[in-house]
Amino acid sequence: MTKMQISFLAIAVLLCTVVLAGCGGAPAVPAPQEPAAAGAAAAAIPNVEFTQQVVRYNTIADYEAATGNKITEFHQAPMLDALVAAGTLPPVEERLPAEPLVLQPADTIGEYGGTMLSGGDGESWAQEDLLREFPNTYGSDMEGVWPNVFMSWEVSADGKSTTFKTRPGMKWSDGEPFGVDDFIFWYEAVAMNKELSPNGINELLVGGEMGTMTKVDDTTMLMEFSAPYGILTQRFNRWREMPYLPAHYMKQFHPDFADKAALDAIVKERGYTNWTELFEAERYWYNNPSIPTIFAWKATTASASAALLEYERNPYYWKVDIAGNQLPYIDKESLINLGNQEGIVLKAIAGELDYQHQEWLGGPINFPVLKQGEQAGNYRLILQKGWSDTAGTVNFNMSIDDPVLRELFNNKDFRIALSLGFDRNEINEVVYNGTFSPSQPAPPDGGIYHGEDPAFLQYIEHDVDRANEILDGLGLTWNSDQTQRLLPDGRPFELTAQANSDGIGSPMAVAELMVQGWKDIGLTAAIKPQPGDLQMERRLAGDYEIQIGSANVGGQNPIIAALRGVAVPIVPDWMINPPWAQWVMSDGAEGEEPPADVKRLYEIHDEFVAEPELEKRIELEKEIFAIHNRNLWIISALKAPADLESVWYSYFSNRMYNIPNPVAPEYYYAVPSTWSKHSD
Amino acid sequence: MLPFIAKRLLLMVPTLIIISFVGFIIIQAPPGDFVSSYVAGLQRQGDVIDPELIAGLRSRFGLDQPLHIQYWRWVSNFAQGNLGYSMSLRQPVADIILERLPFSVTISLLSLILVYVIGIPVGILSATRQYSLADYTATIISFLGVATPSFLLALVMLWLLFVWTGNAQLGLYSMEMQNAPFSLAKMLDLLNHIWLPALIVGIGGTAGLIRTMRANLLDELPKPYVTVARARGVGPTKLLYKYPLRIAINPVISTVGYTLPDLIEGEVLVSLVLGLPTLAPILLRALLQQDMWLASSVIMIQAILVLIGTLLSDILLAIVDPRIRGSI
Amino acid sequence: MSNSYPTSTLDSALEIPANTLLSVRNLQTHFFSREGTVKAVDGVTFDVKQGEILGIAGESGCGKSVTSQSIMRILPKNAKIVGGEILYNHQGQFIDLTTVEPDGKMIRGIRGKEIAMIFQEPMTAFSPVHTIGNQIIETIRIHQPMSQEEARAKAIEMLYRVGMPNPGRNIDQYTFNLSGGMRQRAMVALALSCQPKLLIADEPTTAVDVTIQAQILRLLREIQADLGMAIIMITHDLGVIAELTDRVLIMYLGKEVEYGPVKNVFHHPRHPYTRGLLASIPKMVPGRIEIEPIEGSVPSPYAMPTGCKFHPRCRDFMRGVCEVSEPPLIPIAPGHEVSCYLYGGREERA
Repeated sequence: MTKMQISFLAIAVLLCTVVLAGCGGAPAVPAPQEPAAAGAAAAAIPNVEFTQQVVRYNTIADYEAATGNKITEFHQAPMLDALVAAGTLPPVEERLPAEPLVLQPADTIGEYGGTMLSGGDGESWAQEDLLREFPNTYGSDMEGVWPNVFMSWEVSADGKSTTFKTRPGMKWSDGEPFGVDDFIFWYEAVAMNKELSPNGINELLVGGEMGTMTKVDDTTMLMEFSAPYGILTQRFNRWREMPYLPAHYMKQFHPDFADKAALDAIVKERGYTNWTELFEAERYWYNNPSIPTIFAWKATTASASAALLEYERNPYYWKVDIAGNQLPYIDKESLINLGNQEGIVLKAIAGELDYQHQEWLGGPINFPVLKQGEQAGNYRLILQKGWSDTAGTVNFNMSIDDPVLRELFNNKDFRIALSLGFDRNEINEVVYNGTFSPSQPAPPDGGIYHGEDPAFLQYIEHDVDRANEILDGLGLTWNSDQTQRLLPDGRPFELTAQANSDGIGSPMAVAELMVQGWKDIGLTAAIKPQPGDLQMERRLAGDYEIQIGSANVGGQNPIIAALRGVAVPIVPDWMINPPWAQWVMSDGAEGEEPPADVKRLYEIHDEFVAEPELEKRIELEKEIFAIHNRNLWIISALKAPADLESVWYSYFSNRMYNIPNPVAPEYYYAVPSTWSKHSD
Repeated sequence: MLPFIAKRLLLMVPTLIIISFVGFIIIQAPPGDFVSSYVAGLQRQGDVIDPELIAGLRSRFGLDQPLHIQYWRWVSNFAQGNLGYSMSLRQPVADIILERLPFSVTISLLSLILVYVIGIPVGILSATRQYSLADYTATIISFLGVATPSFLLALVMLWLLFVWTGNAQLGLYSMEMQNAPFSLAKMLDLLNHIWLPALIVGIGGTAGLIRTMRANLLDELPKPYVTVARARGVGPTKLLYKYPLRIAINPVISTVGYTLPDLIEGEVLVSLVLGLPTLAPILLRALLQQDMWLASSVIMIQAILVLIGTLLSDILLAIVDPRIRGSI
Repeated sequence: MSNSYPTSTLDSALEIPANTLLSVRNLQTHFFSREGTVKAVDGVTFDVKQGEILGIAGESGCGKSVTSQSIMRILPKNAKIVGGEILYNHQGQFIDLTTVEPDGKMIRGIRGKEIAMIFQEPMTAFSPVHTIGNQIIETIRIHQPMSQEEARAKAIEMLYRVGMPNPGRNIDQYTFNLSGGMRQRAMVALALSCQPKLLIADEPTTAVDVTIQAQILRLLREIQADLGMAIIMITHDLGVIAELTDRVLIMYLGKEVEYGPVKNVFHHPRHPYTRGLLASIPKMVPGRIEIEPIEGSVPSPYAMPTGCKFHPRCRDFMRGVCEVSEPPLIPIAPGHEVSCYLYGGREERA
């Protein structure tokens, strides 16, 4: 072939591939209607004080009673006007429930219109949290139990049953009625189904049995348990499961409700191997445009691996603002799938994103560069309250086979010595620029549990002499060159410290400095880095001496100490010592009998679950902390500040307003349906 | 020729079987499985995952079966065209691959074309004007291209573009075009974005090709048949293209098969840096999370692409070089 | 310092007999490299008449091939014709080939069409990835306006002429499919495809065994008689020269040593070098084989002797004469010249 022919062929191939690629990608979706020109909201701004946080009113009546203002009429987004005029959508009064939730935005009444863009990798917690509607919710200060999807509830005297009411007239995004039937469907199709939930649903397992959900009428549901379940309503604040499904749509995918042959045909045609995969895929509202939802926006892109995920306004959303405007304000919500954090940070600096959760912004390391770009990129960083994780948390294998080590690890003085044996301030400066604070595992400062209390700050000094004294007293003599100590049986005092390489707060860096400090007190520790899930596996298998990582003991909603497997022994790979947890969880059948305090912790968990009164639950939490402080089973280096903007920050374009300040740790609680965007 | 192709196609089968087995084992090699990474992720969010749920998930996905059962389940489905189900993305693997494969292939093909369209002429120039300024320039640029890792180049280019234009040139389309239906405007938008990854992925290959082309041609030019052709009165263009180039290009064509895996793999790093919607980020996530059906299937697809590429290049070589044709 | 100046059998450059095809006058071709300049051809003069066979003989490195390359203007990049003329009879007019544009249209029109060349190694003379037919047809179509089918027919005819078995089939073969003898014939066919007036054969028999050598020589003779073609036969094999050629030119280190009709030169060699060459052919004497080599060895081209280039090895060396300046060409018989002081030339030193 001549060169001309080759070039021609090459260009032809080039064009073909470009055409093919242009065709490839997300299936062609008809371009969504351009949002009509956005303008200020229809009604005048009511006379209220705007507090930079969202204020909730459960019903219109509540709002009117609280403020003396009245909501006389409802308004909708201009993009829906054409549809209503054409008759494809009912008017807004008919789309809203009889009792919509009323929200007061952070700054002012917002304007309809706009698209807001964020970045992720196709599966983003923050993105899911933007959409989720839990049955109840925390307030924006992460306290309390507020009705959300539920309208009200009543707990029985013995605490074993609760009656919930949903909002009458509430509808799914396709106009079908939403009610108790959808909860019951979830219960029967998912919770009680042996294939989808072979071991039941943990949150419904109280007193050793699964609770029941029964329909009283279209808007009333009864839940009953064999033991008191005081925290049930609080559970609904953040139960990712969201125990309701559109029965009228999902029935076709479930063998108990659909024709078996038809179901098998669909399974085969769509490329799944069994109906559970199909069911799970269908119910995953994140990327399924077909499933009806009650969220503010519903998916319009059908794939989780698409480069751009889009969500469009739900015309049947059941919340309004205090001026009667149906929420959300923003028409469309997009998530660009960039696959890596640096790309997202770059886009953020370029000012091309509208909002970005701290999840993908990279933490304190990127704060300076993001802060610097605020002017040029026309955005701002807001404090997004974080978690008071502790970094450099050391746990010991209390059930290790080696008898000498076992005795040492179980000796509190030994752990104290190790705690005194390194310089927390130095680590703080080197790794965290001085933003963290020396602490044992503790709840956040202030709040209810006051993590700054001295009880949480024992043995955080760098006291080499005292540490040496303790170790001497334990029979760990120095070797002849004075470089290393020896165990009581003469072996060199060497440990392998497994360190979590992908934990929060750079535990690897902390671990290295800790180990350096321990050299001075005669302990030689070799660091073995490994990822977090491997750390868990090894702990479960008992294949470790000491592990260094990070932990959060709780004391800060939604991270509740009594409900998580960090402070209390309710998971088989319990950080303090797995065999102890296994013993209490199996009633003595497995594992190793723990000290009485551990048994007490397990009891506290059960008591907590049953306890209906908030104050009493707080007392129980405090007891948990006291037990831990008393025993100091795990020691820690530094605690992250929950309130420091340079550590926990969220990104918002300056075009966005009605953003609560500070922003709640999960977007859900920051009520995105009240966020607004200035029209460009 | 046909028996040759048939034999090669037949040989592909045991090769793919071995690859599937080895790939599957390696994916499962790290301790834990998808459920444990899923659970670890949830725990980082502050959720408590109770052990019953974990066990339930495992049995649902068949992860509690012994390894060879899991392997058999996957490979027998794969052979029938059912690529399995992605646990992390909750979609059939085939859907995910079909959505992303066109982009992967396009970028690789475009890079390949770039490599040849730039590499061959520059190589020829380098050889015919040996030791000239053009030759030295081409040589220096090729060495730089071979030595610079593609992802580094991607980062640098990304940053430079950002500084010059203020835009973060990530992804393959701009926002408006991303989910719009296919149109001329969309294709232009694609071209506007795709040149960067194609260039970066191709630059290493281009550099290598320039060097190879130059060396081969320099070998052929002094050969007797060139002198003889000159003595017969053949003009200078034909003297270069019909004769020495025709032979010098043989090794170049035969190594197309080897450049293909480089392109697919080089594209992995570049895709990650530039945020491209190709198979690479999917594969990475699948491997990290041990989403084994997704990971294994993507690896198999890539292996098939490589094998086909090698076969195609061998066929091409046979077409182009009669000496090989005679011997097969 | 006196230089050699050629006295040729022709008194004036303009007096060239009409049937002369090629007249080379005092050709000088030098090679330039970092180590120095090699005077590969340093003053060579000869004529080739139409239909005549001229042999050029000499040891390796004496400049025979460079002479033929200079004629065809296919010298490598680092070589240059620095002096002399190559007068070629192009359709009745004499043109100086040293002055035409290298690789220009004129010389390309001559190469392959009027002057053709065959080479020592036929395997490498062809491109390995094109059929021999492809290359023969190409040569034909470059020089003559013809369609593909016509050219192919001509090529097949040519192959038949050179004695290629089954020419209609073998035309589509590649060189690696053919035997040695067939390749030789293919090469000859390639060279003759446009019926050139002059064929330059550069050591065509060196790489082949004796039987094929005989075939080739017979072939060349037949075709030469057929087409009335002139041949320049370049070889170091004096037997071939004796068998085939009409006239012979003996070269040593780029210089013309002896030039004349082959019978005269071989039966009455004058130059000591010629004598030495002829004497060094192994002779069969009853009982044993006698070999009389020439003493000494060929000097390095960068360190050539002064005066007569042969003087360090010459038996008839005359001190004070031979090493001082180069001997002129001295006619000793009609059409027979020698470059040696033994036959005069001393008085022409200035």
